[in-house]
Amino acid sequence: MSSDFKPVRNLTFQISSLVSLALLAACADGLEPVPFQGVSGIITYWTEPDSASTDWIRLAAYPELPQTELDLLGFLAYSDTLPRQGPTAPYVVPLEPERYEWLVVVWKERGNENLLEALRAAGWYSADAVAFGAPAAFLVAADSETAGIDVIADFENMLTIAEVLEALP
Amino acid sequence: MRRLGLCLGLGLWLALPAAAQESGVVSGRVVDAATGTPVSTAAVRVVGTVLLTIADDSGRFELRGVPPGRRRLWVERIGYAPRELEISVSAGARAELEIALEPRAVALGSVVVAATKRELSTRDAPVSVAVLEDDELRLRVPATVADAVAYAPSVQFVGENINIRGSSGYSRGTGTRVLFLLDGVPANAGDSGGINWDIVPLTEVSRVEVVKGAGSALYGTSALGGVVNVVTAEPPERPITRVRLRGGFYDDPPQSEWIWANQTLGYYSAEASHGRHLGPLGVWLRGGWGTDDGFRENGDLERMNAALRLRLGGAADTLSLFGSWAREDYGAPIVWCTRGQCDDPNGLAFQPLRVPDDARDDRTRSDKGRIHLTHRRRWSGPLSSFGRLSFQRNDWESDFGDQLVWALADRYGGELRLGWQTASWLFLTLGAEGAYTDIESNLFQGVGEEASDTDYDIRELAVFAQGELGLGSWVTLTAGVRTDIWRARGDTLADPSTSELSPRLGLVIAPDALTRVRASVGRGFRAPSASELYTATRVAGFEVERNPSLQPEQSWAGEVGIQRLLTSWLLLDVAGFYYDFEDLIEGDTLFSEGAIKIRFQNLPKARVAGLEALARISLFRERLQGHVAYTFLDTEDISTGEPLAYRPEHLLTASGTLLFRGLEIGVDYRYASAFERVQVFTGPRLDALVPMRELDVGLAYRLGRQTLRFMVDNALNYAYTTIERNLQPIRRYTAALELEF
Repeated sequence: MSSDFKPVRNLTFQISSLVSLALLAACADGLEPVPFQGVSGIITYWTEPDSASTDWIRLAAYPELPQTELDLLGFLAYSDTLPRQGPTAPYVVPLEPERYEWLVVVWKERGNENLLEALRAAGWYSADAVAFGAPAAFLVAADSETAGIDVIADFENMLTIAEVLEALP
Repeated sequence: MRRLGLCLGLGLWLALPAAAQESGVVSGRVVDAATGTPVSTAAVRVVGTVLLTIADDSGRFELRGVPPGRRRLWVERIGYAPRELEISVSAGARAELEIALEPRAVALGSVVVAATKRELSTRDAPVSVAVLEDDELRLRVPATVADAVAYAPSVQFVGENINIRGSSGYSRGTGTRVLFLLDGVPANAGDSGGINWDIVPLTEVSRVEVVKGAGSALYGTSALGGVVNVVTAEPPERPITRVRLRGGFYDDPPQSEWIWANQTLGYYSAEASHGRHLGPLGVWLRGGWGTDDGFRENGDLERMNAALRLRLGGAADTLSLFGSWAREDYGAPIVWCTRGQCDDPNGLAFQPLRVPDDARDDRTRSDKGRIHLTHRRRWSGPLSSFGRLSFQRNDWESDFGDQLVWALADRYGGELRLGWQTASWLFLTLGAEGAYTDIESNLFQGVGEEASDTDYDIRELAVFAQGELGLGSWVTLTAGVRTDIWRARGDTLADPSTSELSPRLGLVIAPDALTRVRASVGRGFRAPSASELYTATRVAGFEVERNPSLQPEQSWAGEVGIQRLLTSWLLLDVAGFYYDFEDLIEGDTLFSEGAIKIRFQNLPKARVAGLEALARISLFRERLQGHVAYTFLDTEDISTGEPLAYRPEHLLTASGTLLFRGLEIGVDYRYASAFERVQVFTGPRLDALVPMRELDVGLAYRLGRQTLRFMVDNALNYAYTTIERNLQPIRRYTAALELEF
């Protein structure tokens, strides 16, 4: 029976158990501030999208200029959805540190799940400051934000995927 | 079913001759050996039989049908040394005893109802059970019962989802695999199947039972991963008024770059209750109000609740009514702000205490009410009965600026159960229960202009039977089976239905007075909640896509455990468990179009295996009580070979309470390893997964019946998440004054 047990006398064991627990608790290294790493800028709505037919608008970044439909649809890095109205909106795209050759404004048609038909390019980053100028590259360094990558979008003259592949070098 | 009926009939026929034998009655009172005061809720058992009872508030107990001859009686209660005594029972006679228990030693068994639907000691349960007593609940100065349940060994909260032994992942409160009982009456929400902890009147909770492992053989759907039963206190014999004032504030965040508010953020609550007897009628009446600024942007909350408990009759024939209502109005931050979603001069990848600019005014209001009526009766023979009727309403709406989503769910339930002590070696439980849930929600119909109010309903019907057999002097076998018929009906592509048979077998072996070996194996199932079946919406940047072919999930669950009191100061409990799931329902995230879409899917095969070890200690002449519990989990989605999402591999809880001259100091530590897999956001930089580490320190000073409490939660101010982009509360300081008149 339990009443026959002697009270524990090993104070060393008791105290060491408590100290072990306290040490375990003290090992705290939780979430810490993480610097943003990616690209940011302003998107300018040269023309406005048709709100009723717009599913979403995002910016997508590509390390190399896409050559095929498969390259184009392989979204690896993209922004949150952007406003459906301008005239301007800030954007950010979190990215791995490397060189990017293409940053494109992607529009998706509402209710159409065939991506080859539903997706359009509304503009891309260009040194020419127009919607569909020559694509310009930019570099993302580790633990830093590449700011000022401004993009112009023209939603009245969007390009289909086939037209995009023709337009890119 | 026909085979089941034959088995039950045969069992009864075999048992009847034994029941007809002449037997004796053992009755008496359990008292504290030091003070002579009555000891309530002590478990009294006749060794080698399934005859057991629980002492009432005055310490009285009565055991009928005791076979004549020399018998051993085993008496135990948490906080006292267990006692075994030999008695002599004569046929047709009554043996009256006064049993004194020494207040000392490591905690042994507590009383549990939820394990077998009748009161017994946790040590005699064929499954693992954790019980939180009222003192343990109050020491942590919790705001809701959930805050207290989070301290139970092997229990983890993932967001608002309770997770027992890795059975549940995270699905924003939808489709929990834990059945929530309030005084033994099911209380899961009708629409989501989730748990609304705020409908429980915290100050009048007597204990919380956490039963681990599949409980479908007794409870049906929702009990796939376990059962939490909150037992409210009985109305007192003498008038008692209690007032509890609670207030506190949040510390600065651990990183100065995360500071977002230029004022101290606090929280306050006041609760009052009064209990008394008006003639034969016992009454508890309670009301509460609370407000919380929140520790993060748009995290404020205002809460009101009220509860009433009525009890008529004595221990042999009791009619109880319980009603409660709760209202909450709170900000609804779904995710924290990532770069670009809010103005951040520090240029960080995420601001964990802020929300996106367009979510600053998102709010949710909810009203929850329930009422249940129960009747327990011990008939003159070996029969006892239990009946209940219940109604619960969940009514909520969330305003996301450009979208208002809402749901209204009414759930009606009833149960009739018979307990039959057919012989000293056989106790039978037979019952039937049913529920009807009527739901309206605009979440279920789609989005935008196509949205409309639509009716859905869920119907459930079940019968169950369980036998507890005493096999010899040290083996108890529990065998049960339940059959459920479940059907959902809505204006959708598919109206799923299922009928399920859930058997369970349990074994408790007591080779000596200090050791219990338990084993159980059982089948469980869970039908999808209405939210999992029918939600199709786009809200706050997430799109939930309906899966019309979603099926109920099933499991086989087994465990083997051993508990032994090693010395007067150390009790060990070790258990191994295994779940084999079929069609496990998990939220899956699709990125096929660059959009975040969530869809509930059935995983064809999944498993959870684990090991659980618990040590309860009592040191320094019982001034220091505590426990250390460790759980190892190994989970796998067998079709992909990946671990299941939101399950930690290691879970550790440690708790200690030191008593010193009227002072009570409590320390709790909880650790969970970082999840190996999450489901919604998987970006490498924005969703850093870190282990959970939380240290809480509490202090209480009692002066007569008044108590002053202080608590520091998350004393390390450790920043962690349990779901992506949702920081858990930072360090906060709480004081509470409890007055009793």
